[in-house]
Amino acid sequence: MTAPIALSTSDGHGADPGDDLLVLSGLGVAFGSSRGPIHAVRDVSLRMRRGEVLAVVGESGSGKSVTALTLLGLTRGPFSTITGSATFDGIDLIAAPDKQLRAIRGKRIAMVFQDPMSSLNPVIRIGEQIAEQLRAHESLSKAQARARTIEALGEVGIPRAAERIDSFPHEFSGGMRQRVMIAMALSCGPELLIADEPTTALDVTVQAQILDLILRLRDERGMSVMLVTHDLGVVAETADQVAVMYGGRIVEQAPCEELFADPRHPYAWGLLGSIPPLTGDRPEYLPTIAGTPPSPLALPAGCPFRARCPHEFDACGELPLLEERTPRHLDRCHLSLDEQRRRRSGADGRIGLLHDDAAAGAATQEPA
Amino acid sequence: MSTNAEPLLRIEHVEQAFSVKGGTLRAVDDVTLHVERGETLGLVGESGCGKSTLARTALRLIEPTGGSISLEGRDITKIPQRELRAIRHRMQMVFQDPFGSLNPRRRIGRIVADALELRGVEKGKRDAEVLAALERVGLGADHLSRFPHELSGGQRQRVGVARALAASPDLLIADEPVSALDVSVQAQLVNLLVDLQRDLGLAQLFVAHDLSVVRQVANRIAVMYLGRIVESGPTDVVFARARHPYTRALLAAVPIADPSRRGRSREAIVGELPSPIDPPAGCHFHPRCPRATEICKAEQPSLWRYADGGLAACHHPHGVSATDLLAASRADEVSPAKAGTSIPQVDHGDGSGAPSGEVPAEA
Amino acid sequence: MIGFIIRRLGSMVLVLFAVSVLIFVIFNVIPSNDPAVRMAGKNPTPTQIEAIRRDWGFDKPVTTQYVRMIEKTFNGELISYSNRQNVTERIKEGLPRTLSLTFFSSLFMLLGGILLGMLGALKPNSKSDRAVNAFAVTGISLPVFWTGSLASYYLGSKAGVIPAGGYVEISEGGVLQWFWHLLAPSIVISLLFIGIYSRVVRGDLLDALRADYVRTAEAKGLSRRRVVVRHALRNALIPMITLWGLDVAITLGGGAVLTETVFDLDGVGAYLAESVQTLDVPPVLAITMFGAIAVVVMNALVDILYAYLDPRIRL
Repeated sequence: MTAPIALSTSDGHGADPGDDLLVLSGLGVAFGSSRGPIHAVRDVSLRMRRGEVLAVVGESGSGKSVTALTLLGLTRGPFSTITGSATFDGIDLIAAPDKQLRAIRGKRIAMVFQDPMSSLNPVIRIGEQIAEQLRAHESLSKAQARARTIEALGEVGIPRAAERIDSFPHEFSGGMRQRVMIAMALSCGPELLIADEPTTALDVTVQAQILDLILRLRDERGMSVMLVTHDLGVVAETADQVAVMYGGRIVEQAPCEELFADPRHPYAWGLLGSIPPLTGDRPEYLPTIAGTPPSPLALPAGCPFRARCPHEFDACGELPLLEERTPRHLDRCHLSLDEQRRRRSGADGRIGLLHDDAAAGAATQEPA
Repeated sequence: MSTNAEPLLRIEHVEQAFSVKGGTLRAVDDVTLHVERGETLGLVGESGCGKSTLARTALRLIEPTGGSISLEGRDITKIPQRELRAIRHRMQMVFQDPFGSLNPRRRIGRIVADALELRGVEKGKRDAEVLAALERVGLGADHLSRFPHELSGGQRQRVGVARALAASPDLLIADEPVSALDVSVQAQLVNLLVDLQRDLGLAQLFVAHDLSVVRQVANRIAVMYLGRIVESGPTDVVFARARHPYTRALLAAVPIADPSRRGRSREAIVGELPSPIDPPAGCHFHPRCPRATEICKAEQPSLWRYADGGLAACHHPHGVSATDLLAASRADEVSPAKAGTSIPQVDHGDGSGAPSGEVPAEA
Repeated sequence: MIGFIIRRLGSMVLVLFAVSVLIFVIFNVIPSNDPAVRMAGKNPTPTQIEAIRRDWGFDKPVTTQYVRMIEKTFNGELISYSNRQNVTERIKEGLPRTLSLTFFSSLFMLLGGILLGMLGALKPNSKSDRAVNAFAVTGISLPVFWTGSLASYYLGSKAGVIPAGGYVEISEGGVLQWFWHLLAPSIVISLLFIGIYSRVVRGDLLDALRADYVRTAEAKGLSRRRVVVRHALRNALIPMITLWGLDVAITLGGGAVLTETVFDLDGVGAYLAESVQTLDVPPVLAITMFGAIAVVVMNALVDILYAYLDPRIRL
């Protein structure tokens, strides 16, 4: 059942190109609109190794979900144009013909979505929904598919799987529905699991259970996980590698511990700072990022973050390159490393962003 | 108790029971709590625990099926709608969905001005007050003539707060006010709410599922589980010394944005919220509780007040020594008829909450 | 389920009562509609009229008249005022014709609506979508008596491609002739409904194709066909089924008044038309009540089908 993949080390050392399961290179996604093309994703390049958990972090409009959906050819919307490439185990997912892509979807790359209620077909029994995926990829009899389905449901911790297999989605709780989604995604033993905000719709106690489940299955099967999320807490608990997206671009990318210990991009500082701490002293005010995440329709020229960045200067009118300035740590910022460090430790002592509430409300780049 | 000592909002033994297929759904089950003037009370719990229903009941947006609600000592549970409207401006609500709760066809200026009308402010003075309310929340004159769809989620939520402020309330009831917002915008709103409490002395009932946000804004916290308050107390007490296993599980489940703390021991609980229709007998939490014993299945624990101001309804509370128990007293926040008479057991730190044999003096 | 049946039977009684009272009142307040006068023929004497009035019970209080008419309706003893025929017998004669017409037209509208709706939804804003839309608008706006007369006259009487009208029983002319005579009227009735349904199906299918669960189905690697038919279409058809059930019931209950008349099918609908023209209360009342029963029963069947198609719905 499990794909025969050696569990690779995920400590972030000894990167070997041969280990790369997924390579995104200059991936761009644009949607047509009456106001011209909307560039949802721009020039995204990433490497994912086997057995690794890569977290793609961002807020609404950052392009994180579109990136994930594009890998499986699931971007919708009129007149979308996709540029660049996404190579999965030597196959370019962008250029692959439909038939080849279909054989990969659900079999080698599986996906779990945010809202398990709307993502499961409300009128089909959950067992059938899983079995039909198994039968689409493997030649199984109905009885065999059913047995495999029960096995898959049991594996994700659904009690009395043999009975619950004939239930409809609405007969499950939110957490159980997400377990069903995961069972379905993992039923064919994929090498890559793409999880798009898999716990956002769930309560914290259930979230913890689901995250533990994903990590346990990753360890058991050696599969890779691309975790798309807005929650840095979730990232810190699960990821090996992190890519931070803003305005359709990757602005920083690093091994998880390094990103939290030494965030380079002012946006990453802001994100980290705006999480209220759960222990220790309570700050009088939370450091905030002014304004709101930009719509892809109204991105400023140059650095996408410059309109909200307190450290913006002349050079920011030009787009900074995503550079690997120390090994395995990439960022897209004009500030020098020293300057970043100095500013981060300055100001209010946490992230270098000043508390200025009135400015926070007024400065927005919403299209009128 | 003199009138002056009356809290701003007092909810006593409030019950909210709905008849549904298959039985009675007790969304709020004998809840007693209060909000002092100028204080922020955080009400936390998972979806379906009844926290939003309780918040709406406090405003009588839903009529309670039992218990009483009083505002500054005046019982408003039974007063007619007309009188209720006259005092409604004193308690204002901010909703989760900043889009759904604003009329899409009205301009921001109008939306805020409507709240002034409620208070009977003269027409001539309205414009100035509208602007003042908008500026208070970090918006300005250029937003007056905009429509809700022209604003971002965060700005819309600010309008929601401005509308509430325009009524010049004593109490703001905020139901998940930041959970629909982006992370970076959440922090802005949290700061705004903290500001309002500090600068205007605005009391708040802050309902949220996000514990770290609640910690940031609340002076006191009440934790709900299946319609009941299981623990409450000053924020620092609850976060540092949670006594109820459910509170501890809730705290342990929050992901921490610090990879170096990954792999810490987590008192994770199993399973999910049982159906609120026909909930487990005794302590509602017992089927999921690592400490549950026979008594938990049989008897609903009463709320006990401990010396540090924390209250917990648990037969086997965490970190309670014999001395603590001697200083503790039964709080009258659960109807004696419903709650059991048993005394919490001393925690020996082995997680078992073994019987202690020591009996505290009744306070 | 038992509760459901009881509720439906209860609502059926209410509907029948309301409909019958309404019809009865309407016919009683229409000016110059004294049945006794019309039944007495030309130049009757007042005595003759009085006699008829007494014989038929028109002298009794209105409520008594109503109760007796309802009794007769259910006993099958209702007699027409205009030709003194037994109404129930006459309806029974027309029923196979109306049933046959309903059968084919409901099939056509269902299939036509689904197929055209799919054609539109699968390639929105394409040429085929626009063609379907144009067809739908035409179908909805063309009056049935007009298309019916046109088809009957030009294709039937003039060109002789189809029968101009009439009904042939299976026992007389075989299945083929039976079908052949029903084809044109069924299509004429269906046009309007195909127009409506294709719009409804197109909209609901477009929504369904955008739904999260369809995205999940695609992510599972299912074939396009399976994604569309099994995941999207099944959900998209649920709203249409409600409309369809009602329309079938109306056709069945004598609603195809114009088509049946134009094509000389002489079914329940044609009988209704004839009776209304002669202000003949008993058949109008009986047919309307029959129609009401058909609607309530079909509604219940639709609800059962609904609950089967969507397990979230409880009866």
